[in-house]
Amino acid sequence: MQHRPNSLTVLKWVIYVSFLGAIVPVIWKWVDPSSFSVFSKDDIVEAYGGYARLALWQRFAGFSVNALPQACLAYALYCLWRLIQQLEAGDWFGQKNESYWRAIGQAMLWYVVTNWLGETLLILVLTATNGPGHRELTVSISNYDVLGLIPALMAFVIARIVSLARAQRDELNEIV
Amino acid sequence: MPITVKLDVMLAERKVKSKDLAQHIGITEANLSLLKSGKVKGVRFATLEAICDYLECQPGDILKYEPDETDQG
Repeated sequence: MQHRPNSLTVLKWVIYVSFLGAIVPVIWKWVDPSSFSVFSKDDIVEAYGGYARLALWQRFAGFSVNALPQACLAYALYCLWRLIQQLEAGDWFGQKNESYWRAIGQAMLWYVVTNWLGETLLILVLTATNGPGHRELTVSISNYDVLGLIPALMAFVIARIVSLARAQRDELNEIV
Repeated sequence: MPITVKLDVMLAERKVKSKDLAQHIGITEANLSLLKSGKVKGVRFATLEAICDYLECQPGDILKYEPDETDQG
C-alpha cells in the first residue's frame, strides 16, 4: 500500500472547504441578499442604498465584479489540488509541478488585481443609475491588497526552486 | 570529452562479467553500461572505490585523460 502523507490529506480538505468558501458566499449574496444578510453584511452595497434599488443588469454586473477575484482564487485552489495529487504520486520536482506553482502565482496575482479593481468597479456599477453628479469613481488601496501579493510571490519563488531542484536531480541522475 | 573510461578493457583483462560487477558495486547493469560507454557526467568516489576493490586495480586503470588536440592551442 502506498504511503500517503497525512498532512497532504488535511491540506486537500482545507482546499475543498476554501473552494466552497470562495464560491458559495458570492453566489448566495447576489442571488438572495436578504437571507445572506443574516450571516454577513456587504458594507459597500448597503452604503450605496442596498440591493433592493439595483436594476437587474446592476445585479449581474455586481455579481461579475465580485465573482472575478473569487474565480481566480478558485483556480489557484484547483492548481494547488492538482499539485497535491502530483505530490501524492511521489513527483515532487516534475515539470507539471513547476507549471502548477507558476499558475498558482499568476492566479493569486490576478486575484490581487481583480480584488483591488473590484471595489472601484462595484461602486461604479452601484452608482451608474444615479443622476449626474451622484455617480462615483473611487480608487483605494489597503494593506490587505498588498499582503495578497505575498502568496503570489511565494508561489513564483517555489516554482523557481522546483525548476532548479529538477535540474540538479537530472544532473545527479547522470552520475553513477 | 578528454576523460575516457577503460572499464570494458579491465573487465576483459580480469575476466569479470558486467553483471557481477554491477551487483558488487550496487548499481544497475544499465548504469554500468552507460559508465562503460562514457555516457555519464561523473562517477561517485564510492562507485570508483567499489570498482577498484572488486577488480583489484587503481582508478588510473579505469580512467584515462586524453587531451583534445584543439585544447592544446
